[in-house]
This record gives sequence, structure tokens and C-alpha cells, in this order.
Amino acid sequence: MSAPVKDVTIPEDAPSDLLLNKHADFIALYGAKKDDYEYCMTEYLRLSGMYWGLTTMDLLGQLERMDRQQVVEFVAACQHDCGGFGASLGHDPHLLYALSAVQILTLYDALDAVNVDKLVEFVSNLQQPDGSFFGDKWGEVDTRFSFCAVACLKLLDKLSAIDLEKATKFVLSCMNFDGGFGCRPGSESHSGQIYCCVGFLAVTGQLHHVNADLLGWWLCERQLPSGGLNGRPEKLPDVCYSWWVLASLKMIGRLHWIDKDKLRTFILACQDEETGGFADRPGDMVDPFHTLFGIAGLSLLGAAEVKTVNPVLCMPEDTLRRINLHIELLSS
Amino acid sequence: MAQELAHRILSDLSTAFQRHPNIDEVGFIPCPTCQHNRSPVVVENNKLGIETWCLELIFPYAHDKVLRARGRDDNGRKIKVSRSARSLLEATRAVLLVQADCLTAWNIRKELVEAEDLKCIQDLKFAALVLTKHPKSSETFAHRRWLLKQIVQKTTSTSLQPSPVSQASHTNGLVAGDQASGGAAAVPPLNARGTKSGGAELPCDEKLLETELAVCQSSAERYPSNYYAWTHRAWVVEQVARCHYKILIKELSDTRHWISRHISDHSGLQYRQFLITQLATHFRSADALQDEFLPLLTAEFELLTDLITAFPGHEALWYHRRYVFQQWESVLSMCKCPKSDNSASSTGKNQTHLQQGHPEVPAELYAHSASSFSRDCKDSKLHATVVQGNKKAKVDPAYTEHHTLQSELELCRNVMATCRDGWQVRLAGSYQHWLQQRILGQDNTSL
Repeated sequence: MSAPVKDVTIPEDAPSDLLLNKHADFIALYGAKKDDYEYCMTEYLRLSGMYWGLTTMDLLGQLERMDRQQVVEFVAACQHDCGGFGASLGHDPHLLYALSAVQILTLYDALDAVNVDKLVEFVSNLQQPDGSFFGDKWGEVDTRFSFCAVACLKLLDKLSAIDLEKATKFVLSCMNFDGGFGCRPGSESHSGQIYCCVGFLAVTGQLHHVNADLLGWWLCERQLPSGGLNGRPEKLPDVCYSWWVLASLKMIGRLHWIDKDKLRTFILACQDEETGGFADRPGDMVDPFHTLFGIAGLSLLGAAEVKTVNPVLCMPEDTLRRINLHIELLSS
Repeated sequence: MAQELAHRILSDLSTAFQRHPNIDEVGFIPCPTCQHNRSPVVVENNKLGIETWCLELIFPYAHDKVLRARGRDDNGRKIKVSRSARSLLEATRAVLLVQADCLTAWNIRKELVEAEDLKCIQDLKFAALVLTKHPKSSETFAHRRWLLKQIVQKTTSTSLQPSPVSQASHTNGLVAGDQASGGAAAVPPLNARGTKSGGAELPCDEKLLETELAVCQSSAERYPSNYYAWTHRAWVVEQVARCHYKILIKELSDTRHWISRHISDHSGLQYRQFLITQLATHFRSADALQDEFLPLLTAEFELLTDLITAFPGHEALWYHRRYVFQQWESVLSMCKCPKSDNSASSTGKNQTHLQQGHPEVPAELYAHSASSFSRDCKDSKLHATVVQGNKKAKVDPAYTEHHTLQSELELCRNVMATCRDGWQVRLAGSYQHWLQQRILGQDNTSL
């Protein structure tokens, strides 16, 4: 008796070329409709949603189609007196949205629209004596927040505002025997958390702490016969996990350990030919989240039509060059 | 008109909760349009059903009320805040039943708890209900952790004597970020093996703990490999039960059956890794590790061998085997070094050495291992002296022969030579590769 492998079959008529303009149209249209129920339902993560959409547009070379002034004014209005950002107007401040805000403002070279000093204060105040970060004043701890904190500060060129040694110690305490990382010490390794922790170490220049061969193999084992990558053992392949695994492999110099052609085929098959946009898996509903990670994944795989993406911050390399931000990665 | 209707449905929802205080499950009834002239809110046998056509009405309406509590109208304009606890409870309830990850709504409920308009226990019950519809909502689990911290903090501050744990912790336990440092070594085990505190009471309300573990279980049932449910469960065992020995053992026993029925659930298996890692810190001497802890690992090996054989092609099982093997190797190496107490919880004193299984360990946990262990022991000298370099140490040869790199590699070769399931063969190959990497990593060439 054997169990079928948890994977998908790519339909023969699945798209195999990048539908670049369709994706740009999909994002432009998505940002325009603001009255429907779906839009209200996703209000709680609006700033992140805007980051996904705007970064996609920039990677596709079509950022100018979006209304810069409207975006910048909205982001600025989401800043609270404490310096943090809520996901949308009236939503409580949280580190997750502080990073999205900084990423958007960096894309637009508009950091002067907000109070940067207060923001730095907000981030550094969330650091705990053990080096970890609360996501907000209510005290939840997660390695995702450690990444958000340093990524945010790196973009603001203010990494010195926190205790990096302790922050690193905490992230390393979340490393598991398999080379991966979880959300807290002793938590299961998870590709999303691995991306955050490896990203943290990349931002802070400490990738030497990673056991690149051990972690690299764990990450490679995420690739399924369809070519797609899953986030953990026995989960289905997914475009967003494909990005997190791929970006982590890139950071530790092991990108060549997976079958790139098969992964490219999987990602391209997740496009919707009619509406544009990417879904998690072939044939599913598309959304801006998977669209960004589909495009960014293809960029890392060398797609010529897309701008080069930075694997650590998931932003266009040309934007980071403009602000003189360089992050050292492990060589292969 | 739409506003009025939304208001009425929200009132129906409140009435439903008043009339049926024990609603324990919520679901949406697929129904794209309003088809009859009755309320879209129904309760049967404490199960709450909401017809889907009304979600588009009540969600924006309730969401707007939540924003108003934060001083914004639905266009984002600043407005004067007027608060009524009741209306906030109603609005946040409606929002969260539909969108469980709206952290602002949970935060408003936290403020209501702080203002004593809402009891922690009540909100734990509500959050459990939300999880029946949204079993992997990370914000719901985060809110539960906040509520549990409030309860534990209160219990700790009202008790006359501080527990040994709170005395020993660096920070004040659950208050300031300690949850994050609650790894293997951070929280000293209350009922450490080899101390006189063997019979210490649970450091928490048993019923509270039981309910919380049940919520985790139910969420894990509803969504496979539920990362949030299982990491929350580990948090509860660490921060509420303080890794109490009895609880670790009970959890290991309880999840054994669960795992056998959910062989693909890597998160459930990883939870056992957490339990085993924490249990190891309770055995403070090499003898205790060898006599009490190694049999647990042997039992885990045997469970895995059974499951891997019976259900070929499950990566989660093979991955779990990697953990058990590396744990086995590290314990054996600790036992080989005579003076190395278990460093994670070493006290150096009050060590006891139980020749038999721990009295609190259910016999079934030793099921396989007990018999094979004693059988092997007859054939070899118990506690033979193993000479390692110039050190003399006690390691039972029965153990050193049990699961060696060689025997694990043999298992892989067997599977690869005889199994007709291609995926199983691939997984065995991956395990073999992992084992070989370990050897290279340890710079050991004795293959």
C-alpha cells in the first residue's frame, strides 16, 4: 500500500510563457477597486498588500502606472504617534506593517514623508532583554518580527539602534537540528521562518552562522516532482513557498542545488491567462501576494523580462543600489 | 437600508449568543442570496450557522464600528471616539468570526479585558469558537497566549509563595519576553528528575491546561500540519505547564495514538520532538539518561519502523527518524562521558538512579522497547564498561548496538533494494544521504 505523493500535476495547456503585461494590468486593476467586500476583508493587511502590488509593478518596469502621491499620503496617514504603522487607517500599529511602509516609501524614494526618528524608536522599543522582538505592545514574539525589525532599520540605515548581538543570539536559538529555523526556540522548521531568519543573518552580515550544506539540503528536498516547492514535509507545492525556499537558497549560495527549469515551469503554470496574476497552484484563484512571489521567483531564476530582485528584501536591486544598500550573500 | 439590515443581523447574532451560551462551533451556510424571510443566523445543538449572503453586509458594518473605536470613520477620517463595551464586543465578534486575523479587533478585546468588561475565560471560549472556523489563524492563537499570560500572571501574583520556577527565571516568567527564551534550557523544570520535588503539584490550573490542549487538538484535527496549533501547544506546555514532567509524559503518550492516525502530519511529529527534547532535560545523570530516557527513544524508533513499514512513502515519518537518530547519538555520547551530566539541567546533586521505568511513565510508552531491551540485556552484561580513550564509562552495550549508523544505513539499503514504492525508495535515499552527511560533518570516515 502506498500513498500518492502530495503534489500537483501541471495541465498540458498550462501557460508556459510569462504574461508580463497581463500581470501589470491585474495589479493596476486590483488597486483601483476599493468598494467590494473582498477589499474590506483584506483591510487588515492593506499596507502589505500595497507593497506586494507596487513591488510587482516595479519589477515589471511599470511602477509609473500607480499614483505615487496617493500612495505616499496614505502610507504617511497610517503612521501612529508612537512611530509605528497600522495596516490601514484606524488599524493598530505593528512591526509587520512598519516594514511594508518602509519598503513602499523606499520604492518611491519618499521616506521624508514620515517621521523616521519616531519609527526607529518604535522598532527599537520592541526589542526584549533576550534579544527577541515583540510584534507590537501586546507581546507576541516571533522570528518574523526579528527580520522585520532589522530589514526596516537596514533600509533606514539605522541598524545600530538595536542590540544586534542579542538579536542574533535569539534568532540562532531558533535554529533546529535540521539546519532550519522556527518561529520560537524549539519550534518546527518552516520555509517562511527560514527565509526570515536567514534574511536576518544576511541583513546583519552573519550568514556564517548558517550550516549551508545541511540547510541547503533540507531546502532542496522541498522540490516535488511537479517542480514546485513546498514549505514543509508533505505539504503541497506553492508559489509563495517557492519564493521563500528559493530566496533562502540564493542567500546561502545553494540555488544551483534545485532543478531550476522544473521550478520555472511550475511557477509559469500558476498564471491565470485570462485575468493575469499568479495563484498558489495551477488553476487556483490569483491574488497580489502570489503574483509578487511568482514574479520575484522568476527573477531569481534569471527571467530577462523582469528586473533583478534582491533575495533578502524582495525589492528591485536598482532601488537598493540607489540608496547604496548592499547585502553580502554566501558564495556557492 | 443595508445598514439597517446589517444592524438587525448583528442583533440576531447577539441574541443567539445570549440564548445559547454554549455555542461551540461556527460555520457558514453556502447561500449566495437571501431566499426567505427569516434570519440568516441559526443555532442547532449549539452549532452556529451564518448564511453566506449576509457576510457582505455584516462584515463591513462591524468593521466600520471597529474603526470608529479607533477614532476613524470608514473613509479613514478622524472622528470622536465613543465607546460602549457591549457594542464593541458585538462588533469585534462579528468581524473575527469572518476575518480571524484582524489584529485590531483582537486588541480591542484585550483592552476590554484590561478594563474588566470581559473575562479572560470568556474570551478564551470565544477564541476557541473562532478556531472551529479558522483553525490556522495565527492572530487567534496569539490572542489566546495573551489571555493565558493574564491568567497565569494573576495566579502567580496571588499565590503566597513564588514557585521555584519564577524564582529561577531570569525575567519575570511570562511577563517580559520570556516566552521567547523558553527553549530547552531557559525554563528550569519544576519537577526535575533526581530531586526531591518528584511529587510537586502542577504549576497551573489543571482544567485550564486540559481545555487549552483540547483546543490545540481540535485545531490540529481541522487543518493538517497546523503550524500554529502545534507551536501553540508547545508554548502552553512550556509557559503554562512549565514543562512539568508528568505533563510531558502524558502528552507523549496521548499524541502517540494521534500520530499513528496522522502519519503525514509533520507538525504533530515535531511536537513529539519538542516533548522528547524537554524530557531529556529532566534526566540529570548519565545513568538516568541511559536507563529512563533511552528506552523512550527506542520506543520512538520502533514506532517509526512500524509506521514506515506499514505506510510507505511518508516523508514526515522519515524526517522524524532523523531527529530520533540524532537525539539517540547525542545521548549515547553523553553517557559515554562519565562526568557529563545532562548539561541543560545539570545540578550535580540529588541524582537518583531508577533501574526500572519511571513510575509515572505509562507502560505503553515502553511497549516495544521494554521487551526488546530486557531481551538484549540478558545477552549482554548490563552496564558493561566501555573504554573510550583513557576514560572509563558505563554504557549499556545493548544500546550501542541498537541504532548505529550502520544499522540505519542497513535499513535504507533494505528499503531501496526491496521496496516497490518509488517514493519510499526516494525517501530512504534522502535519509541515507542525510546520514552520510552527518558522518562527513563529524569527520568520521569509519564507514
